[in-house]
Amino acid sequence: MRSARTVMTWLLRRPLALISVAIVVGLVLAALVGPVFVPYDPLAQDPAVQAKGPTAAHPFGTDYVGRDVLSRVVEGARPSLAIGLASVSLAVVAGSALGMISGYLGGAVDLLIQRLVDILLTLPGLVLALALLAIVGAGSATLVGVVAVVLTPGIARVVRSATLVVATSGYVESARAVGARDRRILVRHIYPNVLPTILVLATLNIGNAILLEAALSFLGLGVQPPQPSWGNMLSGPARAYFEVAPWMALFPGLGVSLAVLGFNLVGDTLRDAFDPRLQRMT
Amino acid sequence: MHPYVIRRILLVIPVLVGVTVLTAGLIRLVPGDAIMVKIEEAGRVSDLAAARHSLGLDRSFPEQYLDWLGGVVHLDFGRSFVTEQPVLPQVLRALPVTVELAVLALIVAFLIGVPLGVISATRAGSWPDVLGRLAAIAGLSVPSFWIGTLVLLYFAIWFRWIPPIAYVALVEDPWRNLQQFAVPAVTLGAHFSAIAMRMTRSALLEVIAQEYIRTARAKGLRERVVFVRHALPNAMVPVITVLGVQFGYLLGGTVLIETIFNMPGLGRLTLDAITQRDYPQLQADVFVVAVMVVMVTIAVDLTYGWLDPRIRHA
Amino acid sequence: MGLGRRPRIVGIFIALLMALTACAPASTPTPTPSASGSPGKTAIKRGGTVTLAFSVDPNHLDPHKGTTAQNFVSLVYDGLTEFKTGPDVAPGTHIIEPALAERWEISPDGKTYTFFLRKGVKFQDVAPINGREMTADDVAFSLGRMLSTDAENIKRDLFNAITKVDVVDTYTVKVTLSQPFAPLLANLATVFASIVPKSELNFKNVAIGTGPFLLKDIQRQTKYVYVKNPSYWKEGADGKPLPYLDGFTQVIIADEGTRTSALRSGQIDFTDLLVDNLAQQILKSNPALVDEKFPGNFSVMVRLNAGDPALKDVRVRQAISLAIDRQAIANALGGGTGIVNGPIPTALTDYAVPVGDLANFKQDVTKAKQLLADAGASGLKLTAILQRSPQNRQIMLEAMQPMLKAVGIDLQLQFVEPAELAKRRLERSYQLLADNLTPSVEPDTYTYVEYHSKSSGNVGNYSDAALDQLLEKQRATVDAAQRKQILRDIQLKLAELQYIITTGDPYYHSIFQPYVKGFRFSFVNQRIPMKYIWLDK
Repeated sequence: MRSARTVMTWLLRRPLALISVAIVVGLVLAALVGPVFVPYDPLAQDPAVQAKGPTAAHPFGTDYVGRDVLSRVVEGARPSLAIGLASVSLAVVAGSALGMISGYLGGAVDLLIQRLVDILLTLPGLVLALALLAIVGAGSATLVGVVAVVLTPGIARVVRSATLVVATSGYVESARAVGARDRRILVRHIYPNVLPTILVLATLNIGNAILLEAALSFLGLGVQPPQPSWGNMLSGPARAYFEVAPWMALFPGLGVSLAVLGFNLVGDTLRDAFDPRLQRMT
Repeated sequence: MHPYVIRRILLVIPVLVGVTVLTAGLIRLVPGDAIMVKIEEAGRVSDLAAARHSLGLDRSFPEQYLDWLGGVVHLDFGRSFVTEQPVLPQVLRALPVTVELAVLALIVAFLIGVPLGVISATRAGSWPDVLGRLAAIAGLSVPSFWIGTLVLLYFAIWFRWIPPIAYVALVEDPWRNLQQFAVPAVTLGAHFSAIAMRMTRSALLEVIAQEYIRTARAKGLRERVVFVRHALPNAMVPVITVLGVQFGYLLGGTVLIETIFNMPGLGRLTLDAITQRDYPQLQADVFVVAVMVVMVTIAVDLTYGWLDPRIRHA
Repeated sequence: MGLGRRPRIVGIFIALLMALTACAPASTPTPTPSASGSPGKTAIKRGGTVTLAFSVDPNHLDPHKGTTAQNFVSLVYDGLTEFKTGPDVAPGTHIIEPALAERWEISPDGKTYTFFLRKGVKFQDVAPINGREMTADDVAFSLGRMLSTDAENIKRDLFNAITKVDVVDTYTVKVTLSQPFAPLLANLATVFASIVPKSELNFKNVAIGTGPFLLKDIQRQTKYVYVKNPSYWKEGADGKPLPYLDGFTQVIIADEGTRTSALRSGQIDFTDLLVDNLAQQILKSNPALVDEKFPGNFSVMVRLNAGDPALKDVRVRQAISLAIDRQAIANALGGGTGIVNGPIPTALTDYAVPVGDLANFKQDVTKAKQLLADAGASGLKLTAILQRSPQNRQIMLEAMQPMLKAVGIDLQLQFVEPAELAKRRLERSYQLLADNLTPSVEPDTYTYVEYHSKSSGNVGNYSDAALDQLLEKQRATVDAAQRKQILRDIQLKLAELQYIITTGDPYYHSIFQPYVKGFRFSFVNQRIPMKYIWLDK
């Protein structure tokens, strides 16, 4: 692992990396602290200013029942990011475990897990998510679970490939020959070498999770109104009003795009950092 | 046939069964059924049991599923609960729309992503690289349903133009068809261009470092020739295989674009089938998509395996 | 290192793409300044086609089943009676005229109707009907279908007063009722009462009627193409058979935003139900479009389940009604303006009692809190279920939430899918249900159907003996003035009971290109006015 100084120098040499870290830090701060500073209560309705455009009093305009869009966008960052992070954490833990076990043990276990992964990957993600949410009932908690289920197979597959590469290396072979127990090998040898892949996958999938939450909330299955989330602010009445009041859907959409962009850039940067080929070149 | 190929194809069967069982089971757990959808706002239904029976909904799940499976073997997917017409023709009508959308999106992704990847690999760290990467990843980050709506709205306002709303097949009227597909294909394609860019970049880097390239250079061949005749074609192989896999995801993921751009494709058909609890329609849709995804995956695997013997036996 | 070909290829592709998207479509209409559009001044021109949009694809074509097919076959079939439509008929009115029945006789006790059918009316010339004449057998057959107990025949209640149908002779049909039924002629004028040919045809897949247009071509989920019926029985103002148009097309556009974009870009010729704020936008940018504004009669409302322990007490229901500001909700629905509705929508000017006369309709937060305290229900938690689409339910409920919170009621929203909503409605397993009333010009639909304890449309466990009596009386009273008085009493009673919290409706616009003549929106519509449209092109 590099020292903090090396990391800083390294970051400064890459403008994209810098931008991405700035975006992510900024968003997390906004989500955590932002709601304290917003000018209006995100739920407060003012019938006198229904669907009015951006003004000094309401920089992002108001929505169809007269709520301040800026306050709602800031408030909406929290569930969108929280659901994204929570579901990816779940998916990464589950997916990595499955992938490592599958790749290391091989044989029947591998075959079985791989078929399960294939089944889940072949099923259209939206169908799976819609069905699960309709059965369990819409809401933030179930959304986390559902998004995690959708993302896990993809992660499992990639982790498995990475595990295979490590598992067939001489180091691991000799450890096995010496008689080391499987669990020990997994923890001491496989895991550390697969970790970079997992980290990259995690950051890249946060973007997917946020987009999936937006899509599902867009279809009315996520965070239930009147609580704002970027996804549910993009759907329903905001969309119907889009022609006359585009700001209602414009700003939440920008929020989603920015968040996903930030996390994707971080992931991309991490991928570069861990890529031996690039290290050779620079 | 090569044992590997046979093995691959055999492994497909449990996957297809698994997918269809999962779909059939999940949708039956969702509250409400096709009869509920048909009675709409009626407050009383004269003979609910008879209506349910006529659709076979009063049988047990294994019975319903096996009956369906039996039909599938004869290519009979049953009749829609909603229209009472055979289900397969509907799917086959919707299929070309989605396939065309996916193919065009991939072409767009390829045409945008590959050049960006080339720039990125050959001029790493330069401003074109940074901007190009930013653009590609931005494409990946923007929700396609949001940008799609924006595009439609502002095209209508600024140009008084939106893509023709009633779908015509490519063979009927190619010009109108391409007009319809241009905007949605680009919207979707921009999304995937980042993946194409990334793959091109890493594949190129891989290839450039290889022995035979250095040999070619040592032989005194000009940079450009080395690049175009050796590096690029070899780098394209993994790019194409990755895009092939993405094609599979695309087939399942066009719902939102199809809704916004009013295209009668598989995504919308599937969504409607879920909403209307039209079990035969849904099961047929998912089956067809699954078959296509699986075929594409096998094709990709085989190509990759053929090229890289190490992978074949993993 | 050379990059040669790649960027050039990309450049060509982008240029191609821009060429594609910059091309204007073939049919951009240039709005011609219209000559005041008054009918009768310009000579009627025949020919041409129009394109309109509808949001949902019907899953079948049977007019006696479900509620979506009717929008697509209303011009393929006729009924015994029809509502008068045309430029001189305002949207809220309904005047019943003879159609396939050229006259009728009602017995003095009001229980027997004898319909004398028009002679020489031919079905459309499509196999296997091949243009044969319509007779009493067909009418009897159709009435039988309207009365069938098939689960999908959800509009059976419109006709269930009919106990017997007799074919007297080739052109005469006698209909016997269980009691006098004032709404009968109006109900027979709806598309649910279409006269179909007596045959073995599967009407879900085939539509052959006596109407002004034939359904020529169907592309599911995409478009429906109609051509004119050359042997239609009704004549136009120029002495020749209607319709004036050669045909029309209905395209399916699910998304409202896309529909308005389609109107803007000229791909559809008119739209008849555009919410006020959207309409204003379009009119601003296309001032040549012809526009008519009218109040809606869909009546977005919240249905309270009177069987639920929390809502049994009438004081709780009244409190809910007193807590809300209906005008603010109506404005939210309409994007700035709207009208408040009582139990019968204000748009039904013939019958609706002014909202000012109705109890519990004026917001009174103090009284609401008092009623809740009296009923021992301060701090109530309620759940409302709703569909995602149309969005007006969400708008209404979100507007209501803080209003209810101010009197101590915590309202939660729960989105459900249509299938689940239908199930819960059928089972009466909900607390509050957001919906709209079935639009109709018949006050019976807004009263008896919804509130009578024996009505199958009563899905809220409503049961009030005094109300039932009034509802039955209204149904049986054929005298218009008397009936109106009874309906007034009913509305006053409903305002006391607050079983269904009606809120409001937006104003809507019907907007069309200036060359479209002879069209006027009508709530009994379902595309009927197309019969009389002609194009000044």
